[in-house]
Amino acid sequence: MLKVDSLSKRYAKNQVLHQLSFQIHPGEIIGLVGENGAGKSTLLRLLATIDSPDKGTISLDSLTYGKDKKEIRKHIGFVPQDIAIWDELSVRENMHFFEKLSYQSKSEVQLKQLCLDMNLNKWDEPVKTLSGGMKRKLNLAITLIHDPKVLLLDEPTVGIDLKSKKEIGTYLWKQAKEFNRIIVYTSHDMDEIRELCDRILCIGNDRFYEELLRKSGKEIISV
Amino acid sequence: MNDMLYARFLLWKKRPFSMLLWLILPIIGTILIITMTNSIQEDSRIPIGLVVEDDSALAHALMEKVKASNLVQVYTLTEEEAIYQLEKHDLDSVFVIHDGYESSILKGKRNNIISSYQTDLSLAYAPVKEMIVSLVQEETGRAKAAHFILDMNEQYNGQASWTWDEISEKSKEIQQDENLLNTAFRYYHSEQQVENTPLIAWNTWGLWAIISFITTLFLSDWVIQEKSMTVTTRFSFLRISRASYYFQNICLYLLLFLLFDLLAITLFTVLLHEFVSVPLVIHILSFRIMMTGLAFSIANCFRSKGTFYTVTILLALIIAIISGTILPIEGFIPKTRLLTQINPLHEFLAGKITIIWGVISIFLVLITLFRKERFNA
Ligand SMILES: Nc1ncnc2c1ncn2[C@@H]1O[C@H](COP(=O)(O)OP(=O)(O)O)[C@@H](O)[C@H]1O
Ligand SMILES: [Mg+2]
Repeated sequence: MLKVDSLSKRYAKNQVLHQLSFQIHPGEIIGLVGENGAGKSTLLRLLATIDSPDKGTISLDSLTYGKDKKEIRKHIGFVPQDIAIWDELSVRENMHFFEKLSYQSKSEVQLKQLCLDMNLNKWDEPVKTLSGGMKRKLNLAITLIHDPKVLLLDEPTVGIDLKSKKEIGTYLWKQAKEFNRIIVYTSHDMDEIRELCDRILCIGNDRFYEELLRKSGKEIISV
Repeated sequence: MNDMLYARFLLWKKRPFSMLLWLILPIIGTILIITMTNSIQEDSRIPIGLVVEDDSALAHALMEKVKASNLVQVYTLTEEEAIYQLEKHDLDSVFVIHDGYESSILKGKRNNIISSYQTDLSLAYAPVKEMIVSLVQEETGRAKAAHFILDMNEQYNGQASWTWDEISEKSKEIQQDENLLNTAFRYYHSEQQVENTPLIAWNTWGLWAIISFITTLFLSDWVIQEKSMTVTTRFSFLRISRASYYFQNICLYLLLFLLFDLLAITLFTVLLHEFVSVPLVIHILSFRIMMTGLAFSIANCFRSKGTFYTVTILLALIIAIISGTILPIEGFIPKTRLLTQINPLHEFLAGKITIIWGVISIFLVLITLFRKERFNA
């Protein structure tokens, strides 16, 4: 279980997150919504251990953020907002590069399957020739190499075609439900959020998203 | 390390041409420059004719010494041929070692030992003559010292006629007979030595070190590139720490460089007849460790590759100048202690183990790694 308690984060005078508390259970998909600059990416970075909060605590099962950072990172899969892959390498080489340096070793077959599960069927093509959707898929596949318990995705479906979007969505749903992973992801596509998420976390002072999503019938985490 | 090698190799494979070019450039560049300057110097040697009438050890020794000089290109021929070629201006001047050269010298006779021919176009006659004269002095001094010390003494004390006798004239050519012992005596007192250094003193390993400085820095541009890439956000979730990632990569690059240094040693030995020794290998090893660390630390200070390349070239120029590798002009820049100390190549160029800058560069790498780890923690 991922447990967040009274989390606050500010950049200089800009109080981005204020007293955030919530809990997420394995197998749950949480949608993170809010206007630009609301602090979605900031929250994801805190959950991913690559930034640290000013106040509050985060824990994953029995592990505490800060103290057990090294151990926690083994269980975190973080998909950055910007596509983080080697442009000059092929899909296959990207997978192998990160597999070699990953906590988990996987065979070529397993790596290829990871990609195929998302319908990423280009294998030997250089990444720079891939479509935006394909790149997003690879960006996600690399993150899954070490079988993380917690998947944190920053706008994983931004700017791609509907078909790829659906494929990624279905895949994330399977990851949560079949492999019991915790998934927290941000998106500006409210249909996608409604369809995919078990609960929705609205951040920022604006009530706009809360109002908008209330009708979906999904539980909204109030912070 | 194996995993890192596999991963890094994937990236190396993507730019085989530029990788290979920068790795091989110090070797190719050095060989080309050295052979080119050598052949230019070969071409710029003054062609002279040498006629050896005296079949003696001393005469042959003189001939070999003249041939060994970088100033002249020596053609041994008969007097007749020599004069013919001199008339055609194929030769700058002609020197004849007369029959009885050895015995004359041993007996202390000064006349008619060597004569010379020159024309109006014998531009280099004077320096060549001076060189031969001083070589004769060297030989005679040695021979006489060995065999006729007493006799010598008497000669030096007793005689004082230093005349230059003109023996004959051939149309335009003037045949000169010089009292070589006379001249020899003059040089004897001024202790003049025959300098046998080439006109441009290119030092193979010095040149190699300068080019290697540039290429090692160029090949370290991956540090700058990866710093600006979002792909590095993934490094926080790798099995190895960021510091370890960089450290392992530095080691891999070091090994790659050393592989090509081995090739450099081999090729320089075979093609440039450089002498390999254990100390040289140790000097290269220490130089390379210093250079790899320094290049990494410098590259890490930059955000733009363009600026980095420019600074690299400028640094290389400054270092080349203060090292005297490119401009071998003593006294052009005063060799102060400070200039020597701030030159990371100095120890290597001076034929020493790179210790001071080796330690500095390892220290810089450690600081850089520590800061990378802290910054991205
Ligand atoms: N490293 C940073 N330094 C200073 N301010 C930051 C930094 N990162 C984010 N911010 C600020 O925090 C706020 C939230 O940013 P972010 O989490 O990226 O928002 P979102 O992802 O919801 O659009 C913004 O006002 C942004 O300017
Ligand atoms: Mg964002």
